[in-house]
Amino acid sequence: MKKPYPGLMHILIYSGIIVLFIGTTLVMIDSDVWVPLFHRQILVGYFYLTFESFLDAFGLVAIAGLAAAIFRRLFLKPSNLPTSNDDVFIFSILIVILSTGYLLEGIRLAVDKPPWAPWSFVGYHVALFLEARGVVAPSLVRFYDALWWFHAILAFTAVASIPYTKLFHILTSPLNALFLHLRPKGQLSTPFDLKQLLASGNFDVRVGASAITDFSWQQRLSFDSCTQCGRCTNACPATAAGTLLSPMHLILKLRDQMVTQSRLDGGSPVIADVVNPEELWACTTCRACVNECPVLIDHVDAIVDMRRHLVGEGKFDRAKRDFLTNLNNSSNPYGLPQADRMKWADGLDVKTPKEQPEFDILYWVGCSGSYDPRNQRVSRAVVKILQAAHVNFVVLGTEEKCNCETARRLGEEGRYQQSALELIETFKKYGVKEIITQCPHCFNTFKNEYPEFGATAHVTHHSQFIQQLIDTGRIKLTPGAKRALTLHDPCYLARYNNVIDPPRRVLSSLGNVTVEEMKRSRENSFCCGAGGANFWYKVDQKRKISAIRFEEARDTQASVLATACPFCTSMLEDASVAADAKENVQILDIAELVAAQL
Amino acid sequence: MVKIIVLVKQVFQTADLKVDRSTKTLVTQGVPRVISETDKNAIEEAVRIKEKHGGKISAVSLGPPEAKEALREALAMGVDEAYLLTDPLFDGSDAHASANILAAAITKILEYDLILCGAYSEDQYAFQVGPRLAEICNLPQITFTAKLTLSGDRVVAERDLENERQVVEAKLPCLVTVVREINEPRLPTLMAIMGASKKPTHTWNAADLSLEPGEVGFDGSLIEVLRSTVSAGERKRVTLQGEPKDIAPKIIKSLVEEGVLAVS
Repeated sequence: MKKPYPGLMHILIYSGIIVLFIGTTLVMIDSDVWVPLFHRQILVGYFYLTFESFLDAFGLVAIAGLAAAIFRRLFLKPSNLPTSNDDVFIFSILIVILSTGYLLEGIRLAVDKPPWAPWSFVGYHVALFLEARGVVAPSLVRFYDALWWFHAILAFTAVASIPYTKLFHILTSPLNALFLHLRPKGQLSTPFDLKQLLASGNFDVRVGASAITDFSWQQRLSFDSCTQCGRCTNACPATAAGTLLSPMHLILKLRDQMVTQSRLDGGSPVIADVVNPEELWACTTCRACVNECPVLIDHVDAIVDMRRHLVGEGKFDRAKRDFLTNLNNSSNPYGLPQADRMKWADGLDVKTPKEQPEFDILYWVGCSGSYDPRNQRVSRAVVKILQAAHVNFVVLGTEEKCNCETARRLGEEGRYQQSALELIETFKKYGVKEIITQCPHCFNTFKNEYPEFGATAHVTHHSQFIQQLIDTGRIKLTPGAKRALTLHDPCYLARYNNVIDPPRRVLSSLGNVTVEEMKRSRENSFCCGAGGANFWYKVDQKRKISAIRFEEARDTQASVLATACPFCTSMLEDASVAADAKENVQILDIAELVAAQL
Repeated sequence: MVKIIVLVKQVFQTADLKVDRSTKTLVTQGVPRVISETDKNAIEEAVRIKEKHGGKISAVSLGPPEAKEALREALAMGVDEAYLLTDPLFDGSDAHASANILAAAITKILEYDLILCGAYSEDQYAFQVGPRLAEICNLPQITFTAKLTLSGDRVVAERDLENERQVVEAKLPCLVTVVREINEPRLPTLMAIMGASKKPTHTWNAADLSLEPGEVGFDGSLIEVLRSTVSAGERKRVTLQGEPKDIAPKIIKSLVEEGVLAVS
């Protein structure tokens, strides 16, 4: 019910048809089962009369719903809502069934003329209309039989058409909801357990999806649930940027392949026949599609499964290869020396667990915070805040290595798990109980994915931690100049982990500020374009995702665009330079804003 | 069916190497070891030839026991079997001694049509081992290959000689050294590398190769390092300020003056 119009429309059609279906079934049981068996009627007296009014009313409800649906398709025309033969068929058959139902009732009442006719208020008016037109009983009776059969056959045709039309979602979407994985939003599927494989020495595991049968049955059920409503595609940043990806069309292609595949003997790898790898690489894993989907399809999981196959086959370009090679050789995606990992902290008093074994908090700087000059400034701001609040913290220094969250989303599962096992050992070695990180991607993987591999530390994003420091009075901010701010919600923070209020509360504690919301914010935030490893390679975009987002930020007229993710910061800053607006809109991490007012 | 031997050298990740200024030695502790880039190209080329013509690829690496990791990666890329030549006696071998060790191993493997290796290794940049090995084994050699085509019992190679491109042909068996332009090496996943442990890997020492101590290591080398110096390359750190359109000509002017850009 996130969208009131289509939501109400569905409820009207659904409840109308269901009530009529149950009502008609009751009539059938009454007259064709109960009466012959027990020589008694169930539908008698006031119960019957109320029943008749009730059914007549719900017929109108269904018609209202259908009218709303037709109006929506003909006049409102939501984008990416394709009207197919299916839709024409469904609307027509339902309307004809409903109207012939009323006509049948009207004829019945016109011929029998029972005193209780007005209870069936719609049918009664049909009867009055027929009488007014001078249609007489004998011809009606002959016509009635034919019409009754027509109505019955159409009704059964509608039921029988369910598996062959988009009506199938009536059956599949509740089943999909029932059998959907119960993992947290931020946890990808785990195709194998590296620890187990290392113990057994057997690495013959099929990883990724190249044939439709490589998807789990639940995933295939979810493809069958698609109602082609187009909401995923409307929300998708890759679609907005004019890439090849449209999540709805991707799912529909996979669904069509299920039909094709089922006709093949034994099946064959067919995903490559219909899915262009560029569609898969264009996904930023921002999860806007999953968030929008009314029938709970997990597009991102399916895309990552297909990426896993591509990576396993070595089907990727030089940029992706360099990215993975850098992770393998240097333990960071930049390919910079591991020995330089602490350069960001030059001149700061920051200790490692070796130097200071007693600590409360591990500050996880992340690769961007360690190596990217822009985000090194954020790391320094975080340290300034932690020190101002007298937090007893350490950083891992040269023992910090990329957690390969990005590699996992690119499809290199083995490398991810290898890194996870190694880092979890490091955490254990130093007895890490609490981790804070300024990177929502690191935050998400530590929080939602690491527990599966044995991690126990509590994980907090710096926005949450800074908010706590402010709320508990551990840091005091001197109010800054009067200005308007806007906040870009990082996907992996807001949409994936529901961390929505902490950065806002931090911003409002700056004093003298107004926080202007962007057109799309909070859990409906629009991606900066970096996620799912997109930061590390080029996707053919007609208009950059970051440019679209930066434009939305500019529309708020705010002079500061606050961020809470190093990759969002980099992407949006690039966009501001490209838009020649670096002077007008300052892009700052919330930690930088806070540190400046300590 | 082509039988290919590919030479694989494991080197330190050069970007991570630092020099200890007091001892003038390289700090190698904790520095990741990787396959030398052009050797990766050689492996890739071997795998592509095999994919097209069928055959068998054997990888040979001379190095410390850790070089087994490099061989495992080569196996994951599509090599069929691996030979690790390792022995404390081999330590300190120069290009001459290394070529001798490799020649002994290759003679022991016996059957091959083509030997592929990088034109140089990323640590020494001596460009020696390939040509020396070809001489010892009495094979025709093609160096600096940027394109390789196999047809029948001959190879046609395009040599990248910086200012010119030379097309040459040789009869198999022969040795070909490759440059980075020849291909884009594939990157096996971690799972593929782990799974490659199942492929046969043989370890040979000096005795297995019937090599005498005097033929290998420092004693078997022709080159003796007398001393090392550390050259500190200071950057000029020139900063230009102003509008892009004003700065651009200045940058070009400085680059021309430095000889980085040539004006035609």
